[in-house]
Amino acid sequence: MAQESEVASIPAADFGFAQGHEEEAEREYANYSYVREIFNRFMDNKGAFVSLVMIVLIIVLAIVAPMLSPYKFDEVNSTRSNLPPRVPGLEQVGLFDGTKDGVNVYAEKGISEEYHYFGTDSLGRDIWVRVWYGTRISLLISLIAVVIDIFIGVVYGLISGYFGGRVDIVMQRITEILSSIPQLVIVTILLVALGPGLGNIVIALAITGWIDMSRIVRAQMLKLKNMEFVLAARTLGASWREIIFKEVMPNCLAQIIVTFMFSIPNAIFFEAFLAFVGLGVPAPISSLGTMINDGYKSAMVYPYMVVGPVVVLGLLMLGFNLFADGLRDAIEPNQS
Amino acid sequence: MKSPIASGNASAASIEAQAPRDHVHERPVIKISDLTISFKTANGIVHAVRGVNMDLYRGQTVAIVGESGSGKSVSAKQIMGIHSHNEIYEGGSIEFTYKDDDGREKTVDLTKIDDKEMAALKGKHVAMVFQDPLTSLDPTMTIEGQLSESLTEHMGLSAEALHARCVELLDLVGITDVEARLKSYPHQLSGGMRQRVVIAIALSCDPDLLICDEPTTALDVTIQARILQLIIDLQKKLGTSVIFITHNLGVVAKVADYVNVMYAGKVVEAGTLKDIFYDPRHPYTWGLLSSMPSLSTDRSERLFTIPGNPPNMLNDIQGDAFAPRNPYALEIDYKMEPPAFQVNEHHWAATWLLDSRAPKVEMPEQLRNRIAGMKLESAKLREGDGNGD
Amino acid sequence: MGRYIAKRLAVAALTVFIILFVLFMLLNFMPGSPFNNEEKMTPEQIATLKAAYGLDKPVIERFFIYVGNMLRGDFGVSYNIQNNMPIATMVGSRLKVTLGLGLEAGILGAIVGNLLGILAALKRHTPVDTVATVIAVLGVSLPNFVFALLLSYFFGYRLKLFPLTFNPADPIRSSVLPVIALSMFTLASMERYTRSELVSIMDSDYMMLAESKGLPRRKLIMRHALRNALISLITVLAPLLVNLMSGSIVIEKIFSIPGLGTLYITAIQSNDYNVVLATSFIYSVMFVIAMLLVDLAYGLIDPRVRLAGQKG
Repeated sequence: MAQESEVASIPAADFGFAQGHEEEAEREYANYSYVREIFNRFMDNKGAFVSLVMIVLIIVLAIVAPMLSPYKFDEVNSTRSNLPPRVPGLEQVGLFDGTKDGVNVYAEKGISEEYHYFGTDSLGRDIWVRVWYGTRISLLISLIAVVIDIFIGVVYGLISGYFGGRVDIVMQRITEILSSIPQLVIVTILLVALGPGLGNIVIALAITGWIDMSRIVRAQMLKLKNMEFVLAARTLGASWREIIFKEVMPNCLAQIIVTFMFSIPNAIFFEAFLAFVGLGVPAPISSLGTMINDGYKSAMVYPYMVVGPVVVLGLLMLGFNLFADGLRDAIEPNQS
Repeated sequence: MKSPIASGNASAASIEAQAPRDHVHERPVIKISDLTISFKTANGIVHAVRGVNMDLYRGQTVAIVGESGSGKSVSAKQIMGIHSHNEIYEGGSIEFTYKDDDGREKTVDLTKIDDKEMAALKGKHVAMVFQDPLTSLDPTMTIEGQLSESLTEHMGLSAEALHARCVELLDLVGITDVEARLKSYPHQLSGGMRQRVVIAIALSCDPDLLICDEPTTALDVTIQARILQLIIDLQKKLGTSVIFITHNLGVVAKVADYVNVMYAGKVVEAGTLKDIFYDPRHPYTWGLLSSMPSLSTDRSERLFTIPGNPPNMLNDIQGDAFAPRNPYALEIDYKMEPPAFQVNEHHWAATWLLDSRAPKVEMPEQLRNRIAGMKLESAKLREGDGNGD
Repeated sequence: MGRYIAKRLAVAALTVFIILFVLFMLLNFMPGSPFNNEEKMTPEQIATLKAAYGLDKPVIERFFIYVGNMLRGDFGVSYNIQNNMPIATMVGSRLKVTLGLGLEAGILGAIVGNLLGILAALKRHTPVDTVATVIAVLGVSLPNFVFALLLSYFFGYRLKLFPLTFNPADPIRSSVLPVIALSMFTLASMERYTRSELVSIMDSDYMMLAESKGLPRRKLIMRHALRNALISLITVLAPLLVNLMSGSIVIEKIFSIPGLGTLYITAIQSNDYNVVLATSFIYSVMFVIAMLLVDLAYGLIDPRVRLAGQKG
């Protein structure tokens, strides 16, 4: 705040009209954008940032680990069955040193040059390789299924919301009935009917998972379709395709991405659930779900057989959930 | 913080002397000094209120007018002790003077008291009417339940007295079929009706101060005028002091005795209704008045808009916040914040144009014509009133 | 209100019928035949068996026969699991076990989750809030079997406090771990939802108005915040019920609990057509009934629904 003496001592020249300050006014809002704001809020969220690192790490390992390991995921070798984990470096500290009940099993079997980071299963397969191979399969199944169901959901929701009236009523009745059948029942029945298999799991997940997405997109459509910018496009003679895909859809993108992120862990869980029910991917392919299903019975005696897949599955689901949470909070900051 | 009044100008005086009425022996109901409030956001600190000064005397209505984001609502919520979790109190005081149960005058600084003391004042001595009546009432509670809450809290009335008071209050705000309405839930009432209920709730304990935060903005145009008239009538009838927040100068002209014009978290001009409407000095006030649509506006005349956008409150503002939008900006506006220059004992404005060294700038021709028109109109109205008596 | 209930009931009945139809048709495409040792039988023998079980009639006719039988409480017989055992008998006791497990887990999760959520919302931005949030994130993100395995490893295998698998002689101690494992998702979702709902209610206009009346914090929370939060909680019960259902199947398998879930899994693995159909249908009906109850409860509690049509 100006002080008396300060005010008195202002040079007279300063009381001329101001000139050349236009660009200062421009600068005010220059570094202020919607995407940047979302990005800032996302990065401010510790959980979201950690989850991003976690997801990237898991994906990298899923791709790289099986390639770098000397073992194959389906390489059966009865001489090295049920080996406990052994990790170079850590074994010096007494952790993961390949001992069970004080006996070094590796030395006992005469394979002390081998290292199985997560140990081996009852058929002598390397669990480390199997876990990352299984992660690939689990991720693949859920990603493809989610991409398909997002596509169906978005198109269904956009059409239902845009055309409204009788079309909307019929389409809404259909989703209402479909959503009143529990997803797990429909998925299992479909798989029972189609027979287990990687492709069939994807199909079963994709054709049951799109309902939430269609609801969200429809609600967004109903909200947006009477907004000025859409009305303006319509007066300019835009066709319904242009309005739906060029005007409305870009404005649903945030919600679509968030729902996409939430759908992935859900699909991962369903894959594991199917494995538990006995409808998982058939051997020799393995997924995280089938590995847990195979390992849980002996989990008390050989906990390491199930710890690996459970931890990776847990971290994946946790990571995607936290990531989606962070993204949602960054897009709609007033929710938390 | 120094006093905002600079004596560099010949006519410097105290703001307290701004009212025409003799206020020497009277304490203002509300005296806000140098109030500074910021908010922490993901993008940085938002300086929402940057040293606000304001007084309100008993039985009068002071309007705070400004664009959205100018800090008017935040200032008012400070008086009510309504804080959000990311708010930072940076300084200043709000002195509130009220009559306690024994009729003695008491003065407290609302920024210094704790939640318990604040709760004892809220609803009883200070009350507030909010912007959106559709969301202001609890959807799961009957009107009577919500109306009697502050009465039971502060007055301790018996069941019959309580019911009688509720009936009286709904009567007061012009609601008919009172008994049925008391048993209704909010969703069964129209927007205008709900705002009447909100006003009744605010007035239930006969508060010393009523804060109205854009009470008509969310309503239909036809209802707006009625609610406004209701507030004016009730103010006259009950003698409550009112702080009226709005962005609409037309509303200000109807309700206010005093006007504070806010811009970018500061009061930039303050004075009586007449001072602000007939003798505005700040270029921002000129802009506001010029952009006010009125029935008497010549149809060929284009509606004036203030160029540019309000400043980004995330940035530190150098000099006068209004300078980039001010067609009469001086070099000094970009360097130093203008002090408050006293125009007369109840009118001041914070603009360097009032400094004796500044070039003489007159208000725009168009606005002068407009003001002349307004004066003529109100003279006609007064004449009409005189004939009617 | 009466009309509202009648309408909801009618919709539910129709839904159940459609579900049964869809399930019946889908299972009709199930590959293979329900009979074991098919390759050792002559075509005549297969035809006789088919006729005996009514499998030689057209699908639609079989559907209506099935519906008719079911209305009399006859779900058909098991082909493979226990030869010619009536399914109604197989399901009866198992349904009770599954419902009991689900109910206990649901109630435990709802109560604990709610309390945690309220605590977190009231102590926003404190360590209490952080702990509650971590529990919620873990509970929502991690599948039930992770908790089941962790609990049975530490409390069952290491500490030997509870049995690892279901022991019919000691049903109470045997159900502690399964109930806790199953309740985790409900607990976490409840915590999350209660917290976010309370937080947004605390920032709502009507809370601001209630606050401006000078009510003490306790009354503000009890009278306005909690009441509104609990009403809206009813709307999130649906996903929780779905999770309880899928979760109970997995949990029953891990702890070898003789419930509907283990029967379901056995039926799927042994291609027992009738049992798969019956159990799927029972799961669906439980779901539809639960949804119906949620809807009706919501209608009873929320004045906006209860008084709809009485606008004045």
